[in-house]
Amino acid sequence: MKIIAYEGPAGTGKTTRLIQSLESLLTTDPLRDGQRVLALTFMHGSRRRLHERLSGLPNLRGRFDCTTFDSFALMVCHRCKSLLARMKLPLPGEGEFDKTSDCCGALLEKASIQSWIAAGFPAVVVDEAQDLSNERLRIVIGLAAKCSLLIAADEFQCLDDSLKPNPAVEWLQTVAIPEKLSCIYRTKQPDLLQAALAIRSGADVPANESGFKVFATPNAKFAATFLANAIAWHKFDATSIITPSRKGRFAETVVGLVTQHQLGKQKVGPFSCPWERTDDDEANAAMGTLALPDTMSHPGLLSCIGSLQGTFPSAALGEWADKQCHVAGRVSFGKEDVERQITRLFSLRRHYSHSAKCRRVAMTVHQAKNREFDGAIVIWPYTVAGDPDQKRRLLYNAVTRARKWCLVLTQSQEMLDAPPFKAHSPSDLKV
Amino acid sequence: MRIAELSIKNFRGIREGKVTFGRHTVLVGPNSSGKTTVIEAMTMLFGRDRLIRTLTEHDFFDCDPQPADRIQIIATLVDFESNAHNDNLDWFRTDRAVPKWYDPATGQLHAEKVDERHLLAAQIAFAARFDRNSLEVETVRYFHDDDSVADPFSEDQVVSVPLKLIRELGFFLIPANRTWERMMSFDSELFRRVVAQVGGLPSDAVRDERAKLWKPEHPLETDSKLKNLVDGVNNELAGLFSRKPELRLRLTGTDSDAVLDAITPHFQFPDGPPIPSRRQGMGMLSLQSIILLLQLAQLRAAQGKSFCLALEEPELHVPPGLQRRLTHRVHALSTQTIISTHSPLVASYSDPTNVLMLQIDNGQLVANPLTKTGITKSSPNSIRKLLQINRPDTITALMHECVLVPEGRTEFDLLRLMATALELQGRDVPPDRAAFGTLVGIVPTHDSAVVLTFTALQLVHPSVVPLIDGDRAGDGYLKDLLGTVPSPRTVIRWGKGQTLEHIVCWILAATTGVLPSLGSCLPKSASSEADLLALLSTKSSEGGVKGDLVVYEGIVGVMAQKKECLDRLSVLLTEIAGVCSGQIGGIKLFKAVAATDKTNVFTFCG
Repeated sequence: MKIIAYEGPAGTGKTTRLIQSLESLLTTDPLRDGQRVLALTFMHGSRRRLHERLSGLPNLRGRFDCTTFDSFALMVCHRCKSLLARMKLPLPGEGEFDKTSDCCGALLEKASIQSWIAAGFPAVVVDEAQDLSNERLRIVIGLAAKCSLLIAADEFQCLDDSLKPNPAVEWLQTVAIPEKLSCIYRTKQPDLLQAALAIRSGADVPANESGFKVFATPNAKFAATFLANAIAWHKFDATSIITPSRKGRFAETVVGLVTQHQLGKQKVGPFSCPWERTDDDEANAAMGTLALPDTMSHPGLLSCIGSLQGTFPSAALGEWADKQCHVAGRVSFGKEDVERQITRLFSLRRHYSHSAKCRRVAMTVHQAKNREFDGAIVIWPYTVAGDPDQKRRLLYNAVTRARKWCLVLTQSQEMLDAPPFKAHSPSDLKV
Repeated sequence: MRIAELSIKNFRGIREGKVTFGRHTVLVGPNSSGKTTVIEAMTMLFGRDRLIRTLTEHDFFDCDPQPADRIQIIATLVDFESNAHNDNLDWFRTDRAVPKWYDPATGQLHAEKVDERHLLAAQIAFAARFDRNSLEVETVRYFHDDDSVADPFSEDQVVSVPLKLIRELGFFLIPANRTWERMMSFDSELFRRVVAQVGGLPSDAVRDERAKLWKPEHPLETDSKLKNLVDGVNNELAGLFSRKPELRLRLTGTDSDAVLDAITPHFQFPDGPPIPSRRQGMGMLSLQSIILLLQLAQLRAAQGKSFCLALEEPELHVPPGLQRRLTHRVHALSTQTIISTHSPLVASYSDPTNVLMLQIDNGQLVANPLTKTGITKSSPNSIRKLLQINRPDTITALMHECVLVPEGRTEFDLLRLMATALELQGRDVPPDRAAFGTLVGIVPTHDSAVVLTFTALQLVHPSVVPLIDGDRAGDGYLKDLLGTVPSPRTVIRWGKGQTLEHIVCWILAATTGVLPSLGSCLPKSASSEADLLALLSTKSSEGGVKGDLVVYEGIVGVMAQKKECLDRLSVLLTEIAGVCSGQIGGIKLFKAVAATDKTNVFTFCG
């Protein structure tokens, strides 16, 4: 069918352009009754953001499905079980996301499945395509056979080492001529623009400009004081504390100090600054509280659930247990099975609910991907892994989250003389 | 669009079963063979909500559903407007059905089209479970993706079927109970639907009628006989209300609803006044709903929409001539018909490949067509006769629990006459025995093709028993029968050298003085038993009476006059029924020998 592709650095309005071209596509080829637009993302966070953008389109009037690659792949595999069996592909287990995507990709190589999906979804939107693994790219290639594909990518924003060179970007070159975007819309702050450009091109990163500052903070207390002052200065801004690595606990110590103590000459703080939790963190915490035996009866499980004292996911877990007992006639529950259900409930909650909006939140670069904040404070510890290119990508992703200002704190002075902060010598290049 | 196949699990008397439908299918079989259950299963799946009765525990196979027990009914739909799934957007997309491919030759379903003859197919299903806490039955209608989908109630990925699609099939049911007198009135949902389809409510006429009700020409309250009462009431009212209201007596509630409600169908024959339908005979009452549905069928056909009619017992209250006309009308106007019947005549109006013999064996529903291949050029004459000319008789026999296959037409006629004579005499059957006539159906075998007939019928009936002579030819038939796969469980055989004619003589010899009373029905007198046997065994062209139905009636008539003869006949037929149905305790007239490890031969030794 038709492929419309965009490439460009962070903040150049790739998503906006995708949505504009979707609008004009729908004007020339309106959706028929029963047809919808399919929008595929990687994480539930970006799914929600894309959902909001698409909801604003008047000629779409809610006729779209915004879903993650994993949910989509799971749906296709489940519905085409018979065909999978015929192709001698076993249905992947729950949680085997890459395998599920691969199976979905294999199904999508069949013309009949391509047209079955295209019948309901004549247009597909994929943002952040640089993050497509080979399995997920297989899905996109299958979809592109019969659907109109609107796709945007920026190779430099890919943080996955195994995706170099980037398969999606390479594939796009062979099937389309991507339109290059270069005008930055996210921010007009010249210091931020200049810093982002320098990091991207591998030049020396400018420091101590008004909108973009870099400091070496050799100990945690020193870093925490910088952090507290920055927060105090930009009190009303939505601010994120971003770190490429939580290993070694440097960033955690710094954030912990800010949360608990008054710091600096002015004695500012303490400021609440929670770490954004992942589903797994929360699920593990809940499992810790539950202390499940290896197997348990239905009443046994219900009394374990009591120990959650009504917090999430006790109600949902209880409902599941009741349903298993009354609907499926189950009398005994295995620990693993209950734990799988807990994990699933947390991920479902993420799927359906908007996380509480907090003015300040700490997170990893991966968690911050594709999001925007007024200010970004980047804590850069020793423990950042990867070659200079990877480090530059991490820093670029962190810095380009900021709309107004950015502060980078490194764990030592020497780090400022090496990539990603200084242009690296040819010997630093990965072979 | 039409239903190609229906699979049923755990519903009523059916633990499991599958039925394959053609365009015009007839379901026949003994009582509780699953006819009604199959049609009700379709209602669960395709009925508009109002058709779906509230289910209870009794609708589950063993009436005591456990938490994990499910009723599951899956239909395979084929013959879509186009055989390409992307031309049927309403049916095939990710939030609707997954395309599948149906092989009409084998009835198999494939995930991929690998043969040009494959038909595009969608599977939709109905499932129900009994909640042991709320004591309610929960139901769901969903697109069935794969047989391995364990349970629509605990799976997350269940896509439910919108009512709009269900309506597209245009499934309508005329149940056996259809004597409702107000079918053609606005009480009837069906009538309203048809009216809406034809052109809407006759609103002008209704408003006119309403206006007439408001201002009647001769108001009842002005009638002289009522005047005193009305005046009295009005005076009383005037004392109570300063604005002096007055009593008016009007027909109905005088609004449009009242007019519509009051409409009552009448039927008028040329030589009489219009008579309301409830005063008509049952035939007229019973026909109303069919006539009404045929109107709807015509409308849907004109719009290119499908119409699938399930009709229970079209023979009810209707003479055979009309049955045929009705069946043909229904066939002509419907995309698909599924008719259940107890009438061999109705069944014989359909092609034998479309006549399904239903039986339930230990919860397993089996639905086999009278013949899978149909009647072809290579079909032997005997099978042609069995399935074509004698189809009503064949189907009648198959509707019994046991089927007896005699050697030929003579035996068929004689046995039937004798069984009828016995029934007319109202003889009591011993309490541990079932009556021959209700248990055993006799097949009109032709050309002595007892082996071919047995082979053809054992495919559609679980209990087919050949009845062969004790002569040389019988030896041959027995040998051939033992060689069939599967071979018969039971074979009944007359004693050495005997034929049914010997048995007739044996019955008549129960008492003395029978031979003289036969005189008037025989062309020439038989002075001895041997004479009679010779007459009975000789063809009429050679001076005998073999095959002469009039003579047979006479002989059986005489038999019925003599108590001793009737006793013999009664024991004989009751024991045959016992042997056929496997209740062989206390059998005296037949001796059992195991001819092979699969077949017992019961030889007459009376």
